[in-house]
Formats: sequence, structure tokens, C-alpha cells
Amino acid sequence: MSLEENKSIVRRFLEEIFSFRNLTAIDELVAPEAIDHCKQSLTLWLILSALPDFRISIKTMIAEGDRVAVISTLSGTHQGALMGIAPSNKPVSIVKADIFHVAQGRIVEIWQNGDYIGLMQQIGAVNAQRLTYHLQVAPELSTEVKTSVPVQIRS
Amino acid sequence: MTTFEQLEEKKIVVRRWVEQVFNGKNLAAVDELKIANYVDWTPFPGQGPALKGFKPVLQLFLHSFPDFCYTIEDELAEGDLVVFRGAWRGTHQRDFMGIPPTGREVTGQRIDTFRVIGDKMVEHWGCGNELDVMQLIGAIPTEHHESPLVSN
Repeated sequence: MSLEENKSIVRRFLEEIFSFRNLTAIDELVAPEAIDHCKQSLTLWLILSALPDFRISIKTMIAEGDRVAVISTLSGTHQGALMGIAPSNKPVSIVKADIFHVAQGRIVEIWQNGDYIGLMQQIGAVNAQRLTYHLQVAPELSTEVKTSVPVQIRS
Repeated sequence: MTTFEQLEEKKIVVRRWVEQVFNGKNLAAVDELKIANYVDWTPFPGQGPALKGFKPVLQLFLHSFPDFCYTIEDELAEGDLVVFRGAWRGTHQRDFMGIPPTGREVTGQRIDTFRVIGDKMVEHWGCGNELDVMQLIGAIPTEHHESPLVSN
């Protein structure tokens, strides 16, 4: 299959799931033995359930061989509890990077990732100001030990 | 249309970054491989703009996890974009953002996309599991679930 054909399969998959909420498209576009390599606790499904108006906007696709990488933005409103954070009703938008392995016209492997720390910042779970302080005093690569101030993360 | 050779040359820039900076700990190579006006669309919390803002984040990880080691698992390139999927591991041996060393070994998964122009990276979109890493070492409280990096 050509790179363009692979991209078009991946694009259709993302549109069916994220724009049309058509989960039955999975049967057609994803092989039954497909592997999801996600090892993160903050799974995509947890996020989507906290952002009921979620939508994806594909920014670019990079294809080589039998793989397609997709850079997209995932947006929505934080209306459901997420990792212990009560709904903030804030609009959130994060970068997602996913790689799909396509074989015989179907997706057989997915590696998913996203800017989940950015998501935590946007819903107010991570206080960037304290972290900025730590980066300003970030150590040089040396064996010196520096004293530190405890980080306060609002939860 | 970018030729095969041109795409390979772009991948080599990112491979050099992995070999020389991540694994070789050669910070002098940072300015050789990324432009000063480097644009990072996925900054770490508190990261300032441009390459000047990126350097302390890099130093933080390499300092706090002195045995930091990155392994390339996949490379894709098209146009002027290069995507690297990879895994890193390291032991939390020094202070990380105010968290004293826990001695825990952490494993990271990353998908990083770079725009490479000439022999330098100019733009970056990165996604990784740093949230899980930070939960494992106690930098972010885990209220309702364990980091999957905690072994049983």
C-alpha cells in the first residue's frame, strides 16, 4: 500500500472515532489482533470521558514505510473529573503524537502519546510557577548538591 | 519533494542529538544541533522560550537521572519533519524539582517530532509519559491511581 493510502486509512480512523463518534468503524479499520502499546495511566479513554465535547484536529501526518505518525491537537472542555481533579469547565487543548502501523489496509499497531503534563497544567493540577523557580535554579551538569525548596502542587 | 538522502540526513541530526547529548552528556553539542530560536510547542512546566529556556530542562533531567539513557525505537521522516519514537530509563539519584532522590528507576516513552532545516532542529512537538514519571517519584500526587511504573 502506498504512503498516501496508509495516511488515508489513519485519517479515516481518526475522523470516524473523534469527529463522528462512530466506534463501529474500528471493525473495518483496525485488525482484530491489533496491539495498543499504551503504557500510560492517563489513558486516552479517561481523558475523553472528562472532555465530553472532545474533538481532534490533525495538524500533519508523516508517513514512511508501513507507519504513519500523526501530530494533532485534542481539544475539549474539562467537564468531568480527571485524575482526581474536579471539573474546572476550562477549555483545554493539547498536542497529541501517535504512530500507526498499517498492514493490508488496516491498523495493526498503535503507539499513542500526548502532552498530558500540559493537560494537567491547563486544568490547574500543576502549578507552573513553582516549577519555573526550580528551572531557574537548575543545576549545571556537575556533582554539586544544591539545597532545594519543596514543590507545591495544588491538587 | 525531499529525496531519500535528504530525509536520511535529517534523521542523522536527531540521531546525533541522542548519541551526543542524551547518551554522551555533551552539552556543547546542544547549540550545534538546535537553533537559538528553537520553538518548542510542548514546553515542560516552567520551561522558558527558545533554546535558552530549553537548556535548564535538559540539564534538570540529565542531572537528576545521571544514568539517563535513551534508545531509539522507530524513525519516520517526510518533508522537513522527523519523528522519533523512543524509550529512556534512568535512576532518580539527585534532587528533581525539590523532590529528594528516591533511587527509583523510571522508564519513559516518548514520541518527538522535529522540523529539521539544514543541519539543525528548529521546531519541536514532544509527547511523553513524564506525568507518570513525576507521579512515581512523588513530584505530583497520585490521588486515584498508581503510576503504571510502580512494580508489584
